[in-house]
Amino acid sequence: MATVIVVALVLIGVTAFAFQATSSTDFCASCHEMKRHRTELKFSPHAMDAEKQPIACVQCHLPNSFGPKYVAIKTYLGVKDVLVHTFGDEDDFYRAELQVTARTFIDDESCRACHEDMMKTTKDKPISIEGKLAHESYLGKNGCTNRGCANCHHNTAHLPDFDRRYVVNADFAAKLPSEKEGM
Amino acid sequence: MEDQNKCCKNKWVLLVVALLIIFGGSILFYTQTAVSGTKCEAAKHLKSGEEAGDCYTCHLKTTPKIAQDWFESKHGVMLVKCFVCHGLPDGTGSIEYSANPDPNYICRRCHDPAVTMMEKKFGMRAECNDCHKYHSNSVHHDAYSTTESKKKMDQ
Repeated sequence: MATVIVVALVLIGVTAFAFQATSSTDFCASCHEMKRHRTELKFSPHAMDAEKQPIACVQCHLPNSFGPKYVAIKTYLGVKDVLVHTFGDEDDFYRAELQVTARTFIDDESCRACHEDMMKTTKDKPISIEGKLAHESYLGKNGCTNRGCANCHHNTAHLPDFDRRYVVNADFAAKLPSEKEGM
Repeated sequence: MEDQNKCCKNKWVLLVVALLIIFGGSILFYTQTAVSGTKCEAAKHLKSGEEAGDCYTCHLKTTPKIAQDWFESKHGVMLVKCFVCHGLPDGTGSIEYSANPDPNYICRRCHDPAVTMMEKKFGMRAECNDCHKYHSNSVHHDAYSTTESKKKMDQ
């Protein structure tokens, strides 16, 4: 019995350490596939938070609080990344498809940890009437979209080549070097 | 005695493998089912019927990419407006309101001859959208050279 407890404790310790060690932005960007995502993040509106602290990958891509959901998503995404890094081919990095998967795992709580008031902009001004209508339907007050933040708010931190032609992304695109040049 | 030890060892290995499979399986199941994108459709998102017909003005701001895609696409140039495929949010249109219309019915309302012809030649895919992007079927530029259907035909 004692052995089982010791083994369990060691496993929990190792898992906790592994979770911590693999949650830094530097760790994510240590694979060459992630370099361009990091560069894009650096030039994006999500580079720094309100306190001028750099925003880490895990702040958006993993749930905000620790729990079964966190463990499940962290494990799934981690194993997927390792498998694709080791055995994947070029088709696995088709970004239009990656966007869909990535958005699925962006937890609304992560967004709302910083963006607390949905009826105000980041500059603390009231949002537009269109934004108000959209956010009301998100909240279920006026119809119901249930799409999740990231399924409407696209390209908030990353901007692939094919999304740069959109008028709404013009400011972000102007800051970025072209994807072919060292991204 | 040795046999017993061996048997015991095997049991441990089996147990660990079983636990790993259960753990991995439950995580895979969870991520595939509990976390999904769009969960339900917008039933009605505008109260006033007058506002319902002019989707574009609002959606240029709320869904700017979809609006720009449509504006630059063949459907935009030909002024095939939102409600032709999506219906009206208040349900007064000739077709049912839907954010994700059934392509087999909606596309066929106009493109039935072409769809039937292509179906005979190549068979039917589940989603027209896999090859013909609904909102970004552009008039020219590289959309024609890089569509999925062209790629498949070239090979």
